[in-house]
Amino acid sequence: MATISIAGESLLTDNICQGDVFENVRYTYINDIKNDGVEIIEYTFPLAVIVSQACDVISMGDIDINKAGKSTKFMPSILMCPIYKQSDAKYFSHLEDVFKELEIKKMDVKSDTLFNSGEMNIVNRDWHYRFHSLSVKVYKLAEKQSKKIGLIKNLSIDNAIIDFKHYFTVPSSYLIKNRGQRLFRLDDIFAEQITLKFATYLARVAIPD
Amino acid sequence: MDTYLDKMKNFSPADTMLTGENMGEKRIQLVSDLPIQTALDDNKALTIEVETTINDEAQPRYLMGGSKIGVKRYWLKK
Repeated sequence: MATISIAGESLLTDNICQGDVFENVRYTYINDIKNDGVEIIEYTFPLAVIVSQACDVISMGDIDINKAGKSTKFMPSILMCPIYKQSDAKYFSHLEDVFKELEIKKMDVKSDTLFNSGEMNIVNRDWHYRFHSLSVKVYKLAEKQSKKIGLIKNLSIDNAIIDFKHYFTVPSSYLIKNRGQRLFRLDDIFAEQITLKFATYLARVAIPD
Repeated sequence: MDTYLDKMKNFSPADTMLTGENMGEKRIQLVSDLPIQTALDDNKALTIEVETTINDEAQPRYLMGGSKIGVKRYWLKK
C-alpha cells in the first residue's frame, strides 16, 4: 500500500516551498515567432506540486516578495510535477484536449493504457519509477502552535498519481502572485520523498527501445 | 511499528487522531484534562471518545480542479 502523505493548510501570506500543491497552474510558452506576432501555448494543470529544493524555492520566494536578495540565490524558475486522477491518467483522458488542440495524431492502439493492471499494482505499492501514488490527508494548523488538528476532507486526495514525465517549470513570481491557488503544503518528509523519486526518474539511464 | 496505544500515550487534551484507511476512520478525542501517559502514571481515570465515520466509497475524496490538462493556443500580435 502506498504511503498516505500528511499535509497542512497553508496561509495566503506564507512563502512558497517544496511540497506546496497548487491548483490550476498555468504553464505558458512561445511556440512560434513571426514578424507580426508570437504563437502562445498555454497549459493549465489542474493540480501540481513543487519539487524544487525547499531552500532554493524559499530563497527565490523571498527575493520576489522583498524585491531584494543575494544574486547567488536567484533562480529563474521552479520545477513542478502535475497530479492526476489515477483513473483518468490510465486511459490518457487527461491528454485528450492537448492532442486535439496541438493537432497531434494519436497512434495508440486500443489496448494502450498509460499503465496496465500489473503496473497499477506497482503504482499502488509506490514502486513505479515514473508515477508516484499520492494520497494526502490535509490538516488544519492550530493557532499559535504547529500541531495539526482536524482533517480537511475536501482538500484530501485519494487515488491520485504524480507523473514525473510531465514536469514543467514556472517562474517563482507566478507562484508568489497566485498563492491564493495553493491548497496545502506537504509535510517535509513527504515532499522530500517526491523530490527524491523525481530525481531518480530523471537520472535513469536511457535505454534504446 | 507503533500501536495505537503507543501513539495515544503522547496524546494531550484536545488532540484528535485519525485512524484507518480509505474504508473508514475513527476520530479519537481525549476528554480527560490530562495527557494519557500522565494519567496512566498517576493511575487516574481517563475518558476517551471514539467517533467512527465510514467514507462513502461512491464519492472518493478527490480534490477539485478536474483531471484534464487545459490547453489554449493563440497569437499575440506585436
